[in-house]
Amino acid sequence: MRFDPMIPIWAQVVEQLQLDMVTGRLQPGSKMPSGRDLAVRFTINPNTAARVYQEMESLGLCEPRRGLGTFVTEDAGRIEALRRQMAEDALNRFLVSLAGLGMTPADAVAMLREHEQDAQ
Amino acid sequence: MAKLLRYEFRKTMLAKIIMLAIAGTLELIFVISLLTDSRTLIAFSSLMLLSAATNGITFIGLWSLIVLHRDTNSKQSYMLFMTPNSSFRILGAKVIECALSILLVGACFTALGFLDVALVLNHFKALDDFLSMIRSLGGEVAKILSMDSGTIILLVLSVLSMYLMMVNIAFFADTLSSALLRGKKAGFLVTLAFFLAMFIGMIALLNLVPSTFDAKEYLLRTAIALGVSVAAYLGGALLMDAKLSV
Amino acid sequence: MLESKDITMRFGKTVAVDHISLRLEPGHIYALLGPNGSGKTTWMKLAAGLLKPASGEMLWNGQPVGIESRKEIAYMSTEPYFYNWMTAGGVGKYYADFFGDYDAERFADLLDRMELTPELKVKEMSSGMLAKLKIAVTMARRAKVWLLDEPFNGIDLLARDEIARLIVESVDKDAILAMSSHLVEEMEAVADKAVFIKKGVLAESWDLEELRQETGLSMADRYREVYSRQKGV
Repeated sequence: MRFDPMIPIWAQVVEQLQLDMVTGRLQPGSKMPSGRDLAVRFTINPNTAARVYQEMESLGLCEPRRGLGTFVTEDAGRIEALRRQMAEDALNRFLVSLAGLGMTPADAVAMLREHEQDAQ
Repeated sequence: MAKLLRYEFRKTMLAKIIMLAIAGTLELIFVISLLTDSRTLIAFSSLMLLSAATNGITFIGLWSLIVLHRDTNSKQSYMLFMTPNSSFRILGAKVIECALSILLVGACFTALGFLDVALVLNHFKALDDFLSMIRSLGGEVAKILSMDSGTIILLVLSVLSMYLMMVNIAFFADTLSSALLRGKKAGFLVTLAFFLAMFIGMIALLNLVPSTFDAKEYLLRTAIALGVSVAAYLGGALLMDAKLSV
Repeated sequence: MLESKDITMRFGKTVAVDHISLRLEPGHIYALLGPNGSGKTTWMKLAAGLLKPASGEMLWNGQPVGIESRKEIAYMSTEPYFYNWMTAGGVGKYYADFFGDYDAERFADLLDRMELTPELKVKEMSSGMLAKLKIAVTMARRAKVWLLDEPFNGIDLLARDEIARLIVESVDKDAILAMSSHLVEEMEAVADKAVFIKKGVLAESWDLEELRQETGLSMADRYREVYSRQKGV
């Protein structure tokens, strides 16, 4: 995975893992790699990997089970909430980009309708 | 120490192989000369063997000195100085290797010498000639042959300790040169210059001992040579440590 | 903990390291940064006990570095240094003979990862292969401190990725790894601390994620700011 070296790396890894959870690549309840394995897999510093899990745990997206490792949450509702949040963020980024081009949300809706019709 | 020593022997292996090849070749020529009974060849190969014996020792010593120089002045110095070994151990292993090598080669040539003398005697069937030749070598040898075994042992010791002294002052000369020049190109020439100067000084010192051809003389010579050896070794190790710059 | 206290090193008239007080703590991977001649190599050699300082101290767990600390601190120089009559396997054997923390199995594994074989002769190896051998044999030691001087130099891309993985694998909470490299970008994700040395002086040090969080700069960006001679860049 290529990282943007100007943004905290832990945040970028968290985003990637969240994406994996939302797309189902990381199934609810499945075992996540150990901190060390995560570090090797992404070629990141082990402390960064630890920070990633710290963050994921505080967001309730994964939970440590004593002696067994870290697991993806089984709470489907959490993951659904995460998906909505990520979609919301994508939407906001989209609107901000358009605003930068001088277009309003109403323009956005019009563009989307056109896009939909072309697709049919 | 044993491990360091093993690697030191490996570094000087080529010198011994060369000596072995030369000695072997010359010996072969010598044996052939006896078998073909060509007098000039017998004389020539005998002289060559004698020359190989004396120069061979120098060659072996010089090789070890060159290895020391390279080991302390090139990037290869990391190999020694990154290990948890003190300068005393490192230098000590080198001194032991050099001294043992000289001893070994010297012993081999001496044995070869005895063998060859036996071969010559056998060839010429001339024991009497041999004895008269010995007598003709002069009074010194007769004196030596008339000494008791204790004195002879001390004589041998004094010779060996002189070689040990030469090894140690040669190594000290190199350590001094390396410390002063920090690996500049002319380093080895400076080493040889220092060695020559120190060697001459030591010979002068040893000449102060009166030539009485008795146990006392040899004991004194041994003591001086050993004393200088220890001083040169300690000085070299301390210098190596202080001027450590890898 | 590896610490230099006000350490200074001179070569003749040149002051290579100028009163640097720096502490390296276990569990971290440090990027030592600075242009050639800035003093980072000299600092590492002082830490390895290969140089004696003009003044100041270099302490490993409170004791001055020396013969004993060499048993726990592994230093890898930039230049190749193996005896040219050795084979790759022979180099491993040498390390096994002198370092108690050397792991022969790990060396065999690392040789394989570096795509080298034990039979290769040092005198026949290219500079890239020698660089990889240096890494393999140094990291085969389970040292408490690894000081790697230009570990990525002269090595191809895939091997560099492998080395980055290797570094990340090796450093647990008890070990310290400090590396210097001109390939600043290669170290961005691997290092978590950056130390900038300029003209023999410790210019600044950062926790990398904090640097990114607080300034929005990468380690490379900060490097340019610290060393650039152009004003207002």
